[in-house]
Amino acid sequence: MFTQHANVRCNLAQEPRTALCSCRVLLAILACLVFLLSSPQDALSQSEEIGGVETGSPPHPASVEKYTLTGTVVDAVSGEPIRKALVEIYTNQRRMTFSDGDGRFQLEGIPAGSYSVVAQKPGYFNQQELLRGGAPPVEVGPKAPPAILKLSPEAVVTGKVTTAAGIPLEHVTLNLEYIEIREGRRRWDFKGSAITDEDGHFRFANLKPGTYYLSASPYTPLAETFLESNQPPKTGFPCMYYAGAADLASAAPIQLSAGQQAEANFALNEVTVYALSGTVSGYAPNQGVGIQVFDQSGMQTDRGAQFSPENGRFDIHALAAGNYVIKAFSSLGPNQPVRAELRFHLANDLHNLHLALEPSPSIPIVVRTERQAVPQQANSNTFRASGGARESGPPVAVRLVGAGPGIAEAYASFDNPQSPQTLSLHNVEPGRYTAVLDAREGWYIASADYGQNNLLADDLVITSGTPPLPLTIVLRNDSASLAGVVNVPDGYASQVTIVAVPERGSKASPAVTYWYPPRDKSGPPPEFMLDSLAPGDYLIFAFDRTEGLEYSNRDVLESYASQTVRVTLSPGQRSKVALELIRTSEASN
Amino acid sequence: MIARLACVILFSLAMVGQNAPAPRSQAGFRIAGTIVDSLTRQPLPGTRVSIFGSENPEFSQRVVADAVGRFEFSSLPAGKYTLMGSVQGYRSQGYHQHGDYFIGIAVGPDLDSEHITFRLVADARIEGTVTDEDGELVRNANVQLYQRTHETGRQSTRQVFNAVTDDRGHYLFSHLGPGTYFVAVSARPWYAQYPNSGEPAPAPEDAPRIAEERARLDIAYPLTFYPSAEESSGASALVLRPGDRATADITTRAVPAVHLRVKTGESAERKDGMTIQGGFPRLSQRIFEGSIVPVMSSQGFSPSAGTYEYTGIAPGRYLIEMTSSGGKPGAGWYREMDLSGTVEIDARENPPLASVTGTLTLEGAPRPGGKTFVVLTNRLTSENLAAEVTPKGTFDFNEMEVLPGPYDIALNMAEGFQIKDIVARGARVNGKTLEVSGGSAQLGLTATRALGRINGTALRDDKPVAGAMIVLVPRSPTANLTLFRRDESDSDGTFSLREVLPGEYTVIALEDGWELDWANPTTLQPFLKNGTPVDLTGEAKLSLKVQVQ
Repeated sequence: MFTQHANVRCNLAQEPRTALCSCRVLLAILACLVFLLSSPQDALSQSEEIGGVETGSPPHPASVEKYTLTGTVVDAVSGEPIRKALVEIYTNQRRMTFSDGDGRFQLEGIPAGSYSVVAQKPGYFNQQELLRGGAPPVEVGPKAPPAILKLSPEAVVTGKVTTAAGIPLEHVTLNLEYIEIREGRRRWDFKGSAITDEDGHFRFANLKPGTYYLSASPYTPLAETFLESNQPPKTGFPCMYYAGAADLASAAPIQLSAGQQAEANFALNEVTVYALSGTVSGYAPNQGVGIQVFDQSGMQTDRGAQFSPENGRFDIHALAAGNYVIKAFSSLGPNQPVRAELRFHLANDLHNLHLALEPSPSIPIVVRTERQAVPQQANSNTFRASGGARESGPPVAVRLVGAGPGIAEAYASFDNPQSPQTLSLHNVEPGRYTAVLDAREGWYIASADYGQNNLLADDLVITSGTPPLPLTIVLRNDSASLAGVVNVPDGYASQVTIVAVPERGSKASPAVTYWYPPRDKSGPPPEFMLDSLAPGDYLIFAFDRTEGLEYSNRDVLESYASQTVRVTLSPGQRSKVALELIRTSEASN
Repeated sequence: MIARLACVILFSLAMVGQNAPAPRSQAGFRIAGTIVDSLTRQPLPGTRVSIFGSENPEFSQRVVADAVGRFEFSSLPAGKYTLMGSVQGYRSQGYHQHGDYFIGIAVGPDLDSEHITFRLVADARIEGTVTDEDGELVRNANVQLYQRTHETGRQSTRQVFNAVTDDRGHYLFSHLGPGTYFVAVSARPWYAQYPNSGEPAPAPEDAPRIAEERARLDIAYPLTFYPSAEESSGASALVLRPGDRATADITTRAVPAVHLRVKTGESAERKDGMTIQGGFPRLSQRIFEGSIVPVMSSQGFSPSAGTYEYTGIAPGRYLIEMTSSGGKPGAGWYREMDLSGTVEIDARENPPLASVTGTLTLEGAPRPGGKTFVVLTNRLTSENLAAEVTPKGTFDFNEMEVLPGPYDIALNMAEGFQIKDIVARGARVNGKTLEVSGGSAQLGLTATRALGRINGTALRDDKPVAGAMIVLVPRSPTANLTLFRRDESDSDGTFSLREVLPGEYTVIALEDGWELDWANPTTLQPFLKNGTPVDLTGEAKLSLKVQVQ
């Protein structure tokens, strides 16, 4: 959670517009910045073409025919032209220009070819930022049509926080969580904080389309003078979720489409607040201890704890009645994190809580392989989880994805680099997780169990204070495969995402691959291929796009049930299928 | 009465040690009055009014003013109280507050503390929008608010807040007191891209075209003052009365960026061609009365061995300082010059920064338990530099190195110690001021806790005057600015000047002195002859009467 200086008007923490750091950009050593601005550079991958000439190889021969790229930058929602957008294209050189008052641009001297062209403009997202598959390449050449570069306007959430009587509240912290759909799964992504101004107003800008949850942190008016500051407040305003909900379960999501300006107001009720104190044990003398309070929905409150390392005592003020989890974090040394947590119900001042720091549980992973005689895989390497195998990586990738806000993902890693077959999930915080399992090529997950729980069908719930069980994964190699083509309308040139959803368990990961319609329709179309599939029943979908589509959720797929193809794959079977394209995106940009 | 945190704590500690308040059995005094808006004189119902015991800040009471703005505290022991008020639209403030000073309420027999008119000063605000030369909104711009004050005894315009523009290019400064303000904006164009040494050379026929394209992005915004001035001398003042809501829209204009090349002459090791030896120069601009404001330089790279290039700077006059941190100690340099286009300077030809070291001797008492700092305040640039004193009593300013010029020296967090004597080698000492030239300077500082206190009453025609500005003026005032003390007389006309170094002073009381440049000897001169001379020796406590002028 960010706290920001009073009197500094706060925006949403700015996301860097790009994550890319090519070697060229690294040359720019950014230091001495009085403040950081997000850099507009390099929204697209600086591809190998550039890497190839970096060491001063001769420029392209002058005989290459050059053409002029023309185009228009438009608002993807309104269709209006966008002026003064920066347009960049990567040939063997980075080339750039601005769109004019009518959104038009032109760049001369470009060799014929197919290029990534990126437009940027504050207030807009380009397709490279919004679409996982990126934007279709732009053709430059004698017959190439003008390029249309679409920019999707950012969404904005504004609002006002007042008391129930309508008096504006200043310095209230608002937290925004974004439900990001990644790999077909929901993930909670903290988008940042904003603080109300003297009129109670707050503002979150630079938001992508999607589902958001907004909450007002617990708030107690600031001590007005330093003289008052040692008097703990008696009343305050508890956490509230939009729209007026006490917890996340009853909160209303805010659905934002591109360019939408949503308003979300809060009227907070003043209630009695209580103080909390206790002790922490088990920390090392020179290591700090972090103490955080989370509400029952798993959202962190901004109630800071005062902690005295001398006696281990902590004090927290001004919490409204309710159910909370207090967590303490410290470290006994490098890679030796310790933590403690305690659930409590607050209905009065609460003292004498005790948090005993302990290493977080590590979940050992036991991998068994059941090798079947599969003729077509006779040449594959022999693999045994228990030893002797030459495989350098883990036989299976295991991730735990938090099913709510405020839970970090856990990744399985080697216990010991010398023995790469021993896997564990280290320092797993208590919480509800979905296990995401990926077997090495040629193998599939036959089963995954945690105690009595089938992780292909159920979530994994880790509770505090319960000793961890081993996670047992069985891999088999008698996998099936599925190939096929997709029937697309004429002129459709975008990427198609093929999703195979196993019917054996709701938490089993769908298999995904991509397919492009052929440009040349004369020959036989290329096929997509999904292999290493577990035998069983599948629903197969061919989506035009999967951004924002929670395809690991069977309920979400229900609306496409009529457009799916069901296949049954037996062990070792190689099957073929022909699919119809499913258009998901007519409504959105 | 003074409201600085440190002073209140020190004062309360001193009271506990010296004369713990006698039990007051006849607790029966009142503080009462009406709270009104300072301009309209309309009552302010609902105001939260608090009192704090001046001698015992733990004692506090709070009431809410009634429908006609009346408030009352009763059953109070005799003594002095701090009176504070706040309500929506009025930030928390003391009674007749002037900067850190305000009128304390004296309560006791024969004192009228029940007819107070507490005039609350309504908050003012400044907001605005930052746009560029094309009228486009500028996001993420850093907006700086400067206020003109006389609190240091001479006019100074210093930064009080900063803000960042939102997606609408909008900023807001709220809860401002009345006064004279200036707004400046510092930003980087969102599309700015600066060249670096890693760019592959374009084909010859493309070179002119590509150079032209890159020049369009090789731009910077100058530090721009409201409404669109690139120098502080062109800044428009925003004069706010209580409750004013001012709008200050700023236009900033992208200009071709400066390329500053610094030749160091060092054939620095460049493993990957990317290392910048010795870090970044600090670039700053002089604004208003000469205080300096840092300016961002966005990027640096090394085009050839021993040469470093810094970009992202708008043309203008800059103070360039390169400390030697990370390189050879004592190799720091500075230069003040106009920058435009591509400028190459040779580090070896620039005047050196000063490395200042020294020892601090604490007289007659064990050294304070916590960290103590020696603070140098540059009189021209208003910059403060602090160096921590080691357990052995040594300190050094080598980390930051010091720009040559006149400095005031003081201690910070020194638990009641004041600097008594200064000797220096490599710098000139004049009173409590230090004139630093380039090179190295060694200081010998002696500090003492043997400090006096001057209590007094501000009088006119033998009647006490509340709210007068009291100034303790040292001999040779210009060289001894750190020896000045001030206070505001309380409701019974009394005042207190604490932590006074023994010596000769004059105490003056001015009825309307809060805008006075008291650090200027010419301004002070007419008042000194009617002041009260004081010769303080040792830890004496003096009591005196001062005529209000």
